Amino acid sequence: MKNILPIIIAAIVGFLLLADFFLDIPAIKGPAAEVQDWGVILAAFALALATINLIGFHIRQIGRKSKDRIHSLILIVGLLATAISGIFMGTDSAIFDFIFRSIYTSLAAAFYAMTAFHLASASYRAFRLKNPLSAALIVSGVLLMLGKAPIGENIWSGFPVIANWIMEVVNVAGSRGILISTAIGSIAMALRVLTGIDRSYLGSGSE
Amino acid sequence: MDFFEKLGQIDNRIIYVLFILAILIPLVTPLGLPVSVSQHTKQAYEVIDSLQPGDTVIIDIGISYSGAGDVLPQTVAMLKHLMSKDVNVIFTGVQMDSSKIIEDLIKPYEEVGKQYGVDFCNLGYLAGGENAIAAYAKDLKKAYPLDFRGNSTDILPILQNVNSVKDAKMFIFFSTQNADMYVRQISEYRVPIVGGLIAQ
Repeated sequence: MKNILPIIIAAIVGFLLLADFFLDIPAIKGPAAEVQDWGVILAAFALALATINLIGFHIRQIGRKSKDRIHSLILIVGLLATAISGIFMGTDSAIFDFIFRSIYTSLAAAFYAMTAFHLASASYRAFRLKNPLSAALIVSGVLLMLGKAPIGENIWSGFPVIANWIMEVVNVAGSRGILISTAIGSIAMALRVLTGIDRSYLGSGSE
Repeated sequence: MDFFEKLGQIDNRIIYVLFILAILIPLVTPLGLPVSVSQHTKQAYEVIDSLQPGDTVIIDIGISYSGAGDVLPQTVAMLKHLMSKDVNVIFTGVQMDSSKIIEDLIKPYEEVGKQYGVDFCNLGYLAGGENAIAAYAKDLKKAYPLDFRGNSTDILPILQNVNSVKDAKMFIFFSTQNADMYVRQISEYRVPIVGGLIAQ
């Protein structure tokens, strides 16, 4: 019974939303919209739960005197300072604004910018002429870069045309193939979950 | 060891230095190369230019601050175009940073006399990702009983004739993730969709 009830709920909710998406049945529109709203509430609740879990985990890290406890302490102080200033002083208060703009925004942008260095290095290593396939990768990569960067168009007006052709024909053909096979896999997976064959989301495996 | 093998074994630090120089040199001494406008950008401009004053569009801000440098400039440009045409804008968001980014976007227009609740509104962040998009697309006021500033969505003038995505003239999204979930959930409402994405 412990496993049966969640499977029945998942199946009812899943088939209800599927029917609402694919069929035009006025009677199920209301319940389907209601279930979708529950999903939003659950997602918001999951966020709150995750925050409590995160705080609990890092308090335990500090209690155990873990060697990384300073990071845990910074996380808790940062999390509480942001939450308290936002909830009690408002999101337009000077303190929340300072945390958001001068710390969070700058750090987030810096982390993202750093990936550019790893991308440059990884591309340099990946672009090695070993066989015809790697040659195709190098040629299409160089043509795309020249086609998308302003300098390429200034060298030859044909570069953007070639780049667009690679993006809209070759790339789209490949992406669609991957997308269709992923979609078929997702449908099969969804059916396994909805019919109760796959129960991994309950903490148990397939039957 | 031939020349190409040696090239492949160059130290990462040398690549990083060259990369920094490639960024810094054009930054300090701009090359002044003309930037061409792509066909997709022209199409997006034309479809927005066809809107009439008083039309209402929904813009979903799916932007996180980490990727804002990439996506936010196009958002600012498109909003400027919409505001110049006196189009009403309803902002929604499915990223945690959305609410704050939207407030930053609308602030300059409030300062020059555009009215919150009439010319635009910030419905803020809605948790749930794709499910949130599906929920507000179906029933905007049910998914958002209050806007980000705490106003009831029932009394906002901009929302008086807009109950779902199908009541809007256009749906626009900007995302640091992907376009799939927007296309999947919005296309059934048969409204024009315009999107701005992060470079991937």
